[in-house]
Amino acid sequence: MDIGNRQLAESVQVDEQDILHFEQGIPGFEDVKEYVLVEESDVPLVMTLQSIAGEHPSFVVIDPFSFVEGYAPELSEADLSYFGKQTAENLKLLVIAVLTSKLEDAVVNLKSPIVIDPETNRAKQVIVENPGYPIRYFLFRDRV
Amino acid sequence: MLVISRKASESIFIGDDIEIIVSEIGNDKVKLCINAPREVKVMRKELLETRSLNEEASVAPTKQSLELFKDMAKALKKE
Repeated sequence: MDIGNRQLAESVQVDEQDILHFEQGIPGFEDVKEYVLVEESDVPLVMTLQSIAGEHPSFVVIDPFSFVEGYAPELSEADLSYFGKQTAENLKLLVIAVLTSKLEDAVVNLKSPIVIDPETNRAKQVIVENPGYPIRYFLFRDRV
Repeated sequence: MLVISRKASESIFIGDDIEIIVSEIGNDKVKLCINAPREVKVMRKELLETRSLNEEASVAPTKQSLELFKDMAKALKKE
């Protein structure tokens, strides 16, 4: 195990059954296929998606439905069949956030949510069919 | 910007070896076929932008900005 792994093992208990499998990786990180979702204990809707192989990459992710009014992403047939599903009903969706030093500049990617099947732990970052969803949606702008 | 009208099954060339064929025209979608050398990367724009956002997002934020973010998220959460 490398140093990153040991550090992670110290800070977070990784159970085999908690490992999320991104068979295609995540765009930009195609070689990293195994992640865990670490909950922030005080704010359960904000989580960290952390590679189990080291400290990097790690993504802050949020539950979009709790923050974005009317968010209703449509998954393509190809993505549904990746999960072996007819509908997205039992799939869990999260969106990746970019945090900067200025809070009002924080963005989330509504066009490409992370989709997880909690039954199998298969996961994928998909591109949704909805044409209008921005890749950089300012989560707090006009509200800060 | 160059603007060209094409019908289904017509195509354009970019350079000598990249061909883009309009294969199908639907109501709100066109299907394109692309013939290009293997080394030419062809990617949907959304994927390219998602990739670059992922690269920005992949570095863990400072503790301070994460705390600020969490506070804001807590305040914003729809009940």
